[in-house]
Amino acid sequence: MSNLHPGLILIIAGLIAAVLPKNLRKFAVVGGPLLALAATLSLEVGALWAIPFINGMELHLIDLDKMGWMFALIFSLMAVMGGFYVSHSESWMECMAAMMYAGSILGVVLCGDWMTMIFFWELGAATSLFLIWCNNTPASRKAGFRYLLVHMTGGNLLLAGVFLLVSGGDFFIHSLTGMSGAAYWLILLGVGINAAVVPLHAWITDAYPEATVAGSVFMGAFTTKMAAFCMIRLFSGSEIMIYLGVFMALYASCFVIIENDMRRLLSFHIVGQIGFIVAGLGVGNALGINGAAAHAFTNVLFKSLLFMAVGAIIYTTGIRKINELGGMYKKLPLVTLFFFIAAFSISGVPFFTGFVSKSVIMTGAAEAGLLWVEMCLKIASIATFVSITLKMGYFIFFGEDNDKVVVQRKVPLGMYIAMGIDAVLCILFGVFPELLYNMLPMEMEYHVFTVDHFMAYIQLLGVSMIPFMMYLDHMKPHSELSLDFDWFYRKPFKKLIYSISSLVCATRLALGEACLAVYDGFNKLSAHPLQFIGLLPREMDSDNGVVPEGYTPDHYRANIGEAMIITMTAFVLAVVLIAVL
Amino acid sequence: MFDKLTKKTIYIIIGVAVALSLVVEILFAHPHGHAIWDTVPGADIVIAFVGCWALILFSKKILAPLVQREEDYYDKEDDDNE
Repeated sequence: MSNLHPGLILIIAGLIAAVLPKNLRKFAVVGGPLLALAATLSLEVGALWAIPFINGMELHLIDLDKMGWMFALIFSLMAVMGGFYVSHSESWMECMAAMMYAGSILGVVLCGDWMTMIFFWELGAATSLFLIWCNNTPASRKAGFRYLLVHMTGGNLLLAGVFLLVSGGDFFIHSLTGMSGAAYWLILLGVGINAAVVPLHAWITDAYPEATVAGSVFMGAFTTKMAAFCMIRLFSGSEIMIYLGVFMALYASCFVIIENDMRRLLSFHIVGQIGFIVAGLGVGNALGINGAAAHAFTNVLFKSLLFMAVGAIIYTTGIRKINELGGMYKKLPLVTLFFFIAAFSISGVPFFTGFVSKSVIMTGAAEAGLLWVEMCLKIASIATFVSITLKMGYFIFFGEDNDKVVVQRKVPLGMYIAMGIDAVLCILFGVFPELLYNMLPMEMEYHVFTVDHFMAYIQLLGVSMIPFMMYLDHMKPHSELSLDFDWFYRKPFKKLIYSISSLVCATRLALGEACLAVYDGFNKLSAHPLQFIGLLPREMDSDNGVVPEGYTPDHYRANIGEAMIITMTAFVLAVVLIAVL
Repeated sequence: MFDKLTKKTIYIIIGVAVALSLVVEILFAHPHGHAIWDTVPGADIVIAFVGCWALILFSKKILAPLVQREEDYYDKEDDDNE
């Protein structure tokens, strides 16, 4: 048993960061993750930390299997890099949210029961929201509300599924493959929303570009990869995943060609890369599952490095669109280097991390006889290379110099340290893939450095440069927005809500007026009943000839003496009557 | 943008690299799979060219006109409602 829970360490670090003064805050955001990393390294596979809960249930805050340890390691490493990256931040809320968010994600990865999982899951969604709102722009506020809407929907679907399982006595997390029924579909939908499965992915391309620079680094690394981990744990071998995964990879491949906003483009790539993972776990053989886990691991590294490099550009220049940049290699040479290390990694260039993980998935698909899957993933790989290495690399860092781009401030040291660590890891796992393969959940024999693999990638990546060069003039993106599935809830759904709301308002007003009319009618009737039944002329009052304005009760009421006599008489009569009887 | 000479140089470099890889593939590779791109040397060249060309064409000519709008597409609507 270990009481050193890396996730709780990060959550506490976040709370401490919130109360520390500005100049000390950086120690909490760097020190906390380092402690969490040490705690992860001290954990052993099989570690269990159970605490008693209500109704004889136990909460397994730590219940560690091999894959859980691997994901805990990469998320702890990511927290360290993220901590350095956010260390310059002057916002206490951003630091707190980032740390607590990373801690929550570690909580999901380490836990062994449904209740703990849903707790950390929701905490992660809630804390990450503040990484969007901390950007403090009108667009980020609106995007944050949409993010909240989607994630609370997803979280509640998951919660409903978990309740169904737990109420049936099923407390601990296990694979749901082969199951059916409401719990299966609710959990699949809940996890699918977080894993950005198309068409439930639009929150990612909507919210991530609006988050703070450091916020998008954290979010790009954690939520979707945590969901990918849950997918592997729960749904490995489900056939539906193959189709979903391939569709995701191809869907994103098309959008990245036309996208202009740097972080939105990278967000589409998250969808695409999760597509690889989902397809791999859907294939379900040892290579497929290992490939999915390996690709999630490497994805955290290169995707965060891409977000960091792009974030550094946005931080220094304030520009987020590709077509407004150009010639950045002269202004930010180190950032250029880090960007290209990440770009080569995600594209699958040999000796970088993407190569060692992507090819495991493809070989897994081929071994299962799913050649069409391998083919589609090859095309998605080409799209990645063309859109990131070629399109972003050329138009942002090379291409035509844009004089309007001014580096307004220096890249903070913390950002450079974070990118440096990440770049070293991208190359380390690319050159020594055994380091990664030894952590994978299933036993496998796989050699990635073979001549046919190398030559295939040289041909794929080399030749795909030709169409890019041919259409270079058309490849430069325009200042346009590409609509995605969020259109449905930003346009027609919004209109529907407005229509329903207007209908309700109109009904309420009409009902109010009708009630008022009835009330007025009764008012008139009760104001002067004698006039109403025709005993008095309607025009004139009987006493003084003045038309009554309304009901005057004293006019028809007996004076107090008469009332007393009537009451006393009635009382005496009643007493006499009772006495006689 | 690249001038014509630079473009030509890049094409030549790509051509030489790919041709070399093809030679190495024919001489030294021991394919592990049974798909056409594993057994036929240079099949990846065709996949890459056709795949990339089709992707660019589809995205730019079909997808872009369908989904791309002016940048204040959503904001305009928001202002109307506020």
